[in-house]
Amino acid sequence: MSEILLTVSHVSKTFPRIRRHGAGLAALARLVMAKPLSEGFHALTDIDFNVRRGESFALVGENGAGKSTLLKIIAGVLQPSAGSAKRIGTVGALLELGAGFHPEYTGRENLKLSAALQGLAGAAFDAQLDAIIAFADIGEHIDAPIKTYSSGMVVRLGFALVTALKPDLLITDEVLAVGDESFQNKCITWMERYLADGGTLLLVSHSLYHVKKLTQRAVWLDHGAMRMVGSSSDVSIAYQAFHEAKQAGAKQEALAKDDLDASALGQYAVTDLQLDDVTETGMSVRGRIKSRDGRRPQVAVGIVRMDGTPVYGTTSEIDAAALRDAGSGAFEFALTFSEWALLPAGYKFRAHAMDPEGMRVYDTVERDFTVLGDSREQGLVRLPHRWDV
Amino acid sequence: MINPLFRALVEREIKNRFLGGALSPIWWLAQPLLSLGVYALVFGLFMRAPVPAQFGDSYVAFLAVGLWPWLAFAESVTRGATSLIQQAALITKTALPRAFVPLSTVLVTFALNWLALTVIVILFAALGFKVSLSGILFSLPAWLALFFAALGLAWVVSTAQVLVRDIEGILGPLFMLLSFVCGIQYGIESIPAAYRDGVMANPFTHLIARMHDTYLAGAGTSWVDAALLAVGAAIALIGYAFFKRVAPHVDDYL
Repeated sequence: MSEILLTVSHVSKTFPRIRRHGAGLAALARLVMAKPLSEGFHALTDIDFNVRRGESFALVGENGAGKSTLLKIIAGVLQPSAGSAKRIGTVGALLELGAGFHPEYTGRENLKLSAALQGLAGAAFDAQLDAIIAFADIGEHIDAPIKTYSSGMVVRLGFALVTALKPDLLITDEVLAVGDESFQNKCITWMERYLADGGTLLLVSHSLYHVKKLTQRAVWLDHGAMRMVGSSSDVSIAYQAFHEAKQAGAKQEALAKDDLDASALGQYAVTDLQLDDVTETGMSVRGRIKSRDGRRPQVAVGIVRMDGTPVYGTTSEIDAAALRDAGSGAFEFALTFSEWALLPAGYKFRAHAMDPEGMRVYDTVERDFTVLGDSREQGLVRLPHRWDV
Repeated sequence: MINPLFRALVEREIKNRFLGGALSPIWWLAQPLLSLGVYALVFGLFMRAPVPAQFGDSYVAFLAVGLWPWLAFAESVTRGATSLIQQAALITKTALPRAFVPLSTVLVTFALNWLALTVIVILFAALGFKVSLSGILFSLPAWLALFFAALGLAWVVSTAQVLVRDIEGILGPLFMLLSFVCGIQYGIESIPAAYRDGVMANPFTHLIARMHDTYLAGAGTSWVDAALLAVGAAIALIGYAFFKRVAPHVDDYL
């Protein structure tokens, strides 16, 4: 195994609650006496993970989950309230748009201090300066004060500096989102080469595409705590499923009001539904429907994404499949999906009990399942295709 | 080998002083000259403050060699008080060693004021005032002691200011009071005997006296220098210990 570049051990961070007129003498006395904070806002709780050389890492989580606070602690900008973050080797940090740049100074002047901050100074800096300016590609603006720059230009300058540093560990906090398409591509290309050359990336991104493309492992932060740590694809799937379920939850509430004919009548009800052998290519389903009037019901089955986007649906009536009479009003069904082309993600399987005519839905039961895998393809299903060039 | 980061910070600090403002390029000389003019007018011309006999007969020269070191001290501590807040963008977003920030402020303020006084003393000598050029050398221990004291205080007030924002406002009146009781504008002989013990207990009185002795009376080194350096170093060390405790946590309040 490669060496550990970063050890984050049991890091917690509590921010004091700030009153409007400064923190006052009491807080100052507390700091001088080196007493810990008694109460406050817990931004991070017991974060613990390692990053090895060459094994890039992503942080995902909702806004306010503590991602940026954690990155600041890792970059050595912020002190943790408990625990420690130990780094080995050089670290380059792109924490925020234009962090550390002074608006009154020119791009060139700012580069000098920023480079020195990240350990590049003197002759080594002079030697790299032309390459940095060329990468930023902002023309004569390099000699204008930063306050006249567009946000895209600021990011270009910041990223260009990082390309010259080639740190062992590169920390970036969602900075790529600002540049234009062509600059983003330039950065991604640079990052891929950096990673191929053995660089290690610590990335905060809301783009799960970038997470899967650029990193191998990921941690999901939820309200300042680690909710999941694992391979980037597993964490991405779980995180995406969480979001889709959250959105679907909101949708369900809205639907509940006009969905009266579901189990209200109770004529036909799904009493059992089981998913077996879920793999990347298929699964088996077994279920049972209770028919109160003893007539043979129909069943509708379907697969939706966690947010409710339909992927596929069919019914026993369409497929001319008859449910097996198990006696005393119970009817069983079983079906197998094979060679499906579902992309890795979280899904729901739904079974709806229908009347014998296949006209009306009486009951709905659903089960969650996850298709594993680490594809970076987009959408719901893999469409068969062939590259001709 | 000077830390390249510190050098970049000092360069920036110097540039800051000369950025914007029509008078900026000569401000380092003009501002203390204006203060000198005000004091010379009030104390020299209107109040006719006597110059102690051993320091010659020029009130302006007497005033100048005490005032400039004092201004360096007061200005650097006052500027130091807000230095962390002014550099908030830098220290809350980069891993800059924080002690460098007040240090660069104090260093640049002292360098500019020392340079200004050196120019003035040479000028006085050329104009025939009774000053000693050897004082430029022999005043250095006192300057260094003053620098240490300013640095220690700047480390304290820069962090304290983040949590208690009234500190900078208190510094102005406090320094004004101090400046009147350490023999800058008038010889301490002018202070009533009843209060003189109190004035003599103030280390700044001895420090200013060393400036007068070296620049005006041509005195060489003295054991007082060692005592002053010890006091200055102690203040710097205490200030640094305070800074080390508080500075890592100022992000929470900036």
